[in-house]
Amino acid sequence: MSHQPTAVQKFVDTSARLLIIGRKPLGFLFLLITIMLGFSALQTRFDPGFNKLIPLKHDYMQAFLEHSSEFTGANRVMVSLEWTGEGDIYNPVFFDKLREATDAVFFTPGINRPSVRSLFTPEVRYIEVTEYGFTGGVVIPSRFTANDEGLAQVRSNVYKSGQIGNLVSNDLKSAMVQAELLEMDPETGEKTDYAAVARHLEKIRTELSDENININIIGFSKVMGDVMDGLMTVMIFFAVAFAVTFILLWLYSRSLKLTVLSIVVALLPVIWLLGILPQIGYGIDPMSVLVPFLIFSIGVSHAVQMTNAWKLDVLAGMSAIEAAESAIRKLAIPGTVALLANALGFMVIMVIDIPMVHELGVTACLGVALMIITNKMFMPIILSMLKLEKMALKGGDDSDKKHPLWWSISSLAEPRPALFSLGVMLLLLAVGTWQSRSLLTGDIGTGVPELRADSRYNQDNDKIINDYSIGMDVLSVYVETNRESEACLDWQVMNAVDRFDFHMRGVPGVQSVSTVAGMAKLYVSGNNEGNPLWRTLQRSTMALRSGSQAANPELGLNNELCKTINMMVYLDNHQNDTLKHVIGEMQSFIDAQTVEGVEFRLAGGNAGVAAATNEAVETAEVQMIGSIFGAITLLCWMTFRSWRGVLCVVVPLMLVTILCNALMARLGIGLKVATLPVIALGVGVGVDYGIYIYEQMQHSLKRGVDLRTSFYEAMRQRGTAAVFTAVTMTIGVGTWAFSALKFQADMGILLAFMFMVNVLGAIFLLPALACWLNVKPSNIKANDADSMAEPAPATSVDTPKRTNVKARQEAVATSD
Amino acid sequence: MRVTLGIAVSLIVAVAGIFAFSHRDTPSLGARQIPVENMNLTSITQTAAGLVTAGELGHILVSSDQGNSWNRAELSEQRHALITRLHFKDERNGLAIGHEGWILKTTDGGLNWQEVAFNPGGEPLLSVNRLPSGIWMAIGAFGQALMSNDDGQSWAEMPPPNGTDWHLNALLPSEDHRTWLIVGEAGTLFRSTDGGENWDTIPEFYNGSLYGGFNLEGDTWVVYGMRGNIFRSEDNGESWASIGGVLPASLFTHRTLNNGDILLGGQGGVLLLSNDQGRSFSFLHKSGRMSLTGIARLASGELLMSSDSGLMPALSVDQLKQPSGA
Repeated sequence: MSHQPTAVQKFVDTSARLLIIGRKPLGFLFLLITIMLGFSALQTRFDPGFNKLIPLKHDYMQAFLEHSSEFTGANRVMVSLEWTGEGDIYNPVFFDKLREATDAVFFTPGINRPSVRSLFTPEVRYIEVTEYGFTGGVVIPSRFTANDEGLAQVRSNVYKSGQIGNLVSNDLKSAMVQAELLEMDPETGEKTDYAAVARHLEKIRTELSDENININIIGFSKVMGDVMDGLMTVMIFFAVAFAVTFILLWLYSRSLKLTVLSIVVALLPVIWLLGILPQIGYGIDPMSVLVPFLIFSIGVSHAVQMTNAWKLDVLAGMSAIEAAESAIRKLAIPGTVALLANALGFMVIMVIDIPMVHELGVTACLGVALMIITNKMFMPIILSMLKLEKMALKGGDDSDKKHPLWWSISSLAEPRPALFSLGVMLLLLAVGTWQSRSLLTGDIGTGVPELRADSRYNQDNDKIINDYSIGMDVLSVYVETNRESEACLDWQVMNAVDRFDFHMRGVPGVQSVSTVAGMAKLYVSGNNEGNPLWRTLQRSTMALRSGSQAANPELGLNNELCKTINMMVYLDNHQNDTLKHVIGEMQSFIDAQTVEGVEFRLAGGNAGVAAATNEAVETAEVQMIGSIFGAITLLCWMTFRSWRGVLCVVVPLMLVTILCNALMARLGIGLKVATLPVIALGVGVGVDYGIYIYEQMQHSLKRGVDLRTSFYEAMRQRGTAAVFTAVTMTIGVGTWAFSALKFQADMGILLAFMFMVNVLGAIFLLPALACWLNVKPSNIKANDADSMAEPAPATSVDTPKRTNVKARQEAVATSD
Repeated sequence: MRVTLGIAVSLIVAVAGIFAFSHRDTPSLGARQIPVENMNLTSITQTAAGLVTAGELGHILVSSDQGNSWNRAELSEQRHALITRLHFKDERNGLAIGHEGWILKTTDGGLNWQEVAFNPGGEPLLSVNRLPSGIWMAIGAFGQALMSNDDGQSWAEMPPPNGTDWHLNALLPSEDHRTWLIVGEAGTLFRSTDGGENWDTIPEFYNGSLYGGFNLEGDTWVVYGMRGNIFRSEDNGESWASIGGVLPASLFTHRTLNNGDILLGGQGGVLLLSNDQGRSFSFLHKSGRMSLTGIARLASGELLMSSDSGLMPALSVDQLKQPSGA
């Protein structure tokens, strides 16, 4: 830090003076900005782009993005109608409903109409081999009447069409309509509105279901729709957090004016942030929607510091304006430094190479930066115009009495109780470390991870997976060929694909494999009367040609001329162990390949995305933990200039971080894009308690006060505030635990844990560590005239620049 | 020294932290298996080495524990061509034939195979047998025929029987190995009454493909083929009467049971049963979308069937008689 803090302080003093002088035009300006940004905030849009969720720089994703436009299939919608009445689906009522559903899906906004498939669409045909060759036709003839004869005909056609397990469930109790969604709505020419799609699908459900028909709907667009619905409930949580914070603040400050002011000022950076986002082309996505909560919580605690400082000066007899100026002078530097410490936590999460996380980091950093303006500039301007009510004026501090709770806790700074505290800590550490080893990366369980396991969507998903033979977890491997002609007529290429198909079928965790080679073999066999003895690929181009219908790009297994072949491996689930194992097997197959001009590239499909994301998250975890702890150690050292101080703060923090991992393992929360940033945020915000308390303690120690009394003093002066802050913030994020969205609930639980347990670590472990690290009072009394808070450094460990200490003390005084 | 304890505790926490955040291995899901339940297997038979099955991509598999586990046989060359048929002369000596004129020979019941013929880009061989003269004859697509007179060591092309260019699906001996039939595409049926020296064409009685057949005692024959067609002859193959049509599913394989009952298997996992010497066949079982290609009897009396979607779980005839949903 700077060696001329006096200059900095002078600059701050001058700025404070100028701010107060120009308070009216400035206040007006800030008000104007707020109004303008407030309007702009109304345009903030939900922006859930699929590509924002993936680690774009990962090798897998490079291959995926190169090929994903040709091989879609990821954006499929499935509407399954289940017949819950007597018998199976072959009855007039069901077929009427299925026809209606087919029409309704056809008119979904953004749907790729030719891709709509159901028993009623003409592409769905049956094929029969007879003595005279192939015959076939549409499954439901154009003159279909739903009488016994017609239904019997359809039943037989469906059987021959091979659609059982695909468009018709294996138990013949359900049938579905499938369709692909386009990124661009062909009618409007705009980006397909997932919310509108989801609403339309939900309408189909309400209109067509009755006592005999049950409807299940799945698809990425439906997930997004449900996520957006879930986000609406976020507003309720915001209201709850708001109300609870209001009550706590009022109890704490005993002034309605100050309470309202603190809350309003804490809301300002949120409004400004939401107003700026549309201007810089950002939207709110399911993850960054949580940033406003964080900014609000941090904003409240900073506002509390500012109002407190101001109130104390007013109580001491200053005018509102003088007190406001003094508050800026005291808190500008330390407050800013504290906010920068928070920003550090937000910045570190940007090592996760995923755009959505970057946006989260940027958004949060921006919010914190705005808070410097709103809290340190706008707020004192308002304070300078405020008159404190009588009630708050009465509420003085009865500082002479010993606070019984804090006094008894301070005994932890004595060797024997400290030993007990350390013992408990080591026990927790042992259990936590052991548990944390079973932490899993990635999603746990089936279904979509965004929503809860018992959500309607995931129930629909389970139902469809159970009833049909359709896999949802696809891992695509792309084969890139450089042949002059049709690569699917090149036996070398097809044989490599064929052997991959065979290899992967034997891998545990693989449900089935779908490749152009497998399909071509079926076609060859089909062209040879369905004889299984012909289900193979021969070396001659002539023979390969008889299976070449399989290489039709419309089937989605390859593109024109088979320049790229999309080999799809369906997995049992998308848990990390399955992904790792299957990818390991793929890699060992690929490494052994020597076919010229054929390159295998991993990996696409939702499982490919999950695998890449897991790898990115795992790499980022170590980097992130390393950098945040490195940065915090440095910050603590600069603040305390004492390795003892660093350890007192960082050791409990490390314990809490390990416990957080253990908690995740226990609760079955995976380490993923949504939860990894939580650790950095939790550490970044949680460190403040320790700094806050240790700094105040150091202050007393330098005056020669013994360790226990120093700690007691620190707790009396700052412990209550720390606990207050921890409780407000815990409640603010804890409300998310009730979110309909699984990842939000996970984030909420973990952040609440980090905020709350870190304050406990600072209260119970810090004194014990200080005691056993031999943190002792200085034996020389202060003799500096400038500040009674600054003794001449006596011990070898405490040799701070005296002016710097002042800045440090104040810096941490406001950190929360 | 008091400080030592504090530093020790801090060190423990640091080490625990490093351990907690160090790389977490995911458990392996187990070794890769040969996908015997999800691969095209065209033939299954019992030999001195145990059960032998073969098919997709030139895989030949051997099981010494009644089909519970399977190991790859050793092949002198792996051509990745589909093996279409296994034929054993006795418990140890046999041939495997496949696409592109691929022929392999074993003398140890199927554990080790020696390539004896391969014709890259050639047509598939579909059936092989040893004629009474000791000559081996293999037939296949487009009237292709090969012969070997050194017990399968070397093979030479021979002219197509009766100059045909239809696919020839099966070479069938009578019990006494005097009369032989070749059945094939488009109702092709050739008969030899001199141990496979000369072939006469039996006049067409059916225009679809015939895939297989067998001789019962004396002059009684049964052949089967496309769409559930079954024909029976009581005059050593001169004239034929249709006894099929139970289900329009093509039939590819058969097996005679110990009690003389006969099973036919084919598309849709369909099994037909005759308990009257092949006079009539009735529906026994069907099990899905696969096509049955071979039926072997296990020591337990259960049947183990190969199909183009792999081996089916072993079932007894009584279990097969239970009605199944599909």
